[in-house]
Amino acid sequence: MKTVLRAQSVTKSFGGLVAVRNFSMEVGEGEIVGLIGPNGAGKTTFLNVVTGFLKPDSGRVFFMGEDITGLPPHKICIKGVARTFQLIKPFSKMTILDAIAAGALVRVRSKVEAYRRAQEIIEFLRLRNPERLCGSLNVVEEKLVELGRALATKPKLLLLDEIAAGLRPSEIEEMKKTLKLIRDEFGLSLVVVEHVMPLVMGVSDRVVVMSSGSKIAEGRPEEVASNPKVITIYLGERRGRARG
Amino acid sequence: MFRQPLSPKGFLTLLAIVALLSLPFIIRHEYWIYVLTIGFYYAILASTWNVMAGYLGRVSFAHAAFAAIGAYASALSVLHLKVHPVLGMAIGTVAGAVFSFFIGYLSLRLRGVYFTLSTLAFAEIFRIIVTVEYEYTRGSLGLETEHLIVTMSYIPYYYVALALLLGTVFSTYLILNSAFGLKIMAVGNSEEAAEAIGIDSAKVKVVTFLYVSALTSLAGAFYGHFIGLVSPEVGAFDQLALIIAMTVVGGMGTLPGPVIGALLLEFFSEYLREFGIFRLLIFAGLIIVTVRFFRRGLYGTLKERLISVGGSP
Ligand SMILES: Nc1ncnc2c1ncn2[C@@H]1O[C@H](COP(=O)(O)OP(=O)(O)OP(=O)(O)O)[C@@H](O)[C@H]1O
Ligand SMILES: [Mg+2]
Repeated sequence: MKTVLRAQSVTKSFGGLVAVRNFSMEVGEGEIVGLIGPNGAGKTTFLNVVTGFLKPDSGRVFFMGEDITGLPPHKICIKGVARTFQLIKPFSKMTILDAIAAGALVRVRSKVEAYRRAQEIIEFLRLRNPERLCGSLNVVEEKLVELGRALATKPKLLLLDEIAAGLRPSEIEEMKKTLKLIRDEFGLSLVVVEHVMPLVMGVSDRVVVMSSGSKIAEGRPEEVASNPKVITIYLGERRGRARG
Repeated sequence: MFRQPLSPKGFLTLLAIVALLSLPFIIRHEYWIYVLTIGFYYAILASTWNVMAGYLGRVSFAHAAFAAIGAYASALSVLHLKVHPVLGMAIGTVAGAVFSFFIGYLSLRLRGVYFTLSTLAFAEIFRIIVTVEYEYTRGSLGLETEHLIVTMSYIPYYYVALALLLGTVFSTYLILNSAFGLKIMAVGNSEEAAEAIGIDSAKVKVVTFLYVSALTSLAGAFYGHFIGLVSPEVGAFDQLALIIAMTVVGGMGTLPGPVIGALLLEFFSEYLREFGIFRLLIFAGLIIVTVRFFRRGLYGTLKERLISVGGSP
């Protein structure tokens, strides 16, 4: 299997706090990798380093064998890495069609062609009334537009930061299907950062567990789920939450 | 059923253009022709400021200053290089482009407020230099300059200003509806999301600021050769405030809004002249009332109502 993403000993700290510590992971072609871990584990920070929103203190990020460490976000997107945001960043005053077409512009020059590609993605995601403003949508639609915008850039690697947060169980089932379909139809690799266990365990080929910035476990979903270290962390977190 | 059919909109636009073209034949009063010409000047400034604030989401406080840059660059080149005012206006435009490129390049890469603060600082520095360099600029007395057209009537100026305004609105329309326009709006909505989908946000911001400032300088240069005098007043803060008020009253983030707001406020401010000292008070009251009852400006609110009446899903 070809390696699409290779992160090597990435470290990133904020002041005295080490958010990501000597963290390495790989993603193969067509693979869906789940990235889980308790709140504050460093998952989002890691995604920000991969996509160029943060520069790592040390370590390197390779995409398709090429060193992309420290490139600005738009250049990393041009290389073929797309993402969604944990706190969604919608183009509120734009229509669904315009927002997704804006994503297509990184691959095509003409607006007509961008609209055509956006229309395809809108149909694929089954978004209705694409003339609506992005600021007027429900949670599911907002997440789908966020996803569609990223897909429109024709990525080889798509990083999703808690795409299922705030969804109802039935919607999570839908999202699971959508993600698998995306992998198959668009032929890309996915990194799924998620707290929603049914989704991440159901969709991932492999799961990486992060805690306090470090990798503490890795393997097939069922292996990870029965790993004592992982259980301890999650139980500890639940106890912590119950107390707080 | 969301998209407005293009024909009524196009029809209204055409109607407005025809009306503006024929106005000098209807209004036989030179004074109101003069007022409308000044109104067109402000309409250009409000339209271009609106591209920054209403679409790119960046507030420039140097907008009036760029009009002054154009005016001074043109007046000085007409005076010293002995060029025709038309060439002077071209030089003024280039001067605006050059200055805006440097300001934009230095400050637009930083986050929002730094840009606004930089434009504020720049506008103030420019004003001070112009006022102090008396030898070249005649300071606050103002620099006399050649008129663009030798004529006894304001009508030729009216048509030149109208042509500049239509050119500005039309080119802005084309840009906003192009692929680049999508990028402008993307950056205006969320710079980070725009970067994440491969948009070079710094480039989009610098290019947009350059376009906007060059047009503003062109308008300023025209204004100088219309009045025949260029003073620091052109770039003063109250001018900026007026431009902002016009945009907000008409409807920020819409194409016709700033034009409507500019013509309306210019008209009122002239009409209210006879109220002397109460003029500013009434003027401010009008603005507050408009903004209170038309939250998105006159045109913006009207458009919103029409859309909701027209029936969305
Ligand atoms: N910009 C920042 N400045 C300072 N500290 C930060 C910043 N971003 C994240 N942190 C800190 O770094 C640590 C890791 O945060 P991060 O957001 O990466 O965690 P996460 O795994 O995504 O958590 P969650 O599951 O809650 O989203 C946290 O302690 C957080 O408070
Ligand atoms: Mg996170």
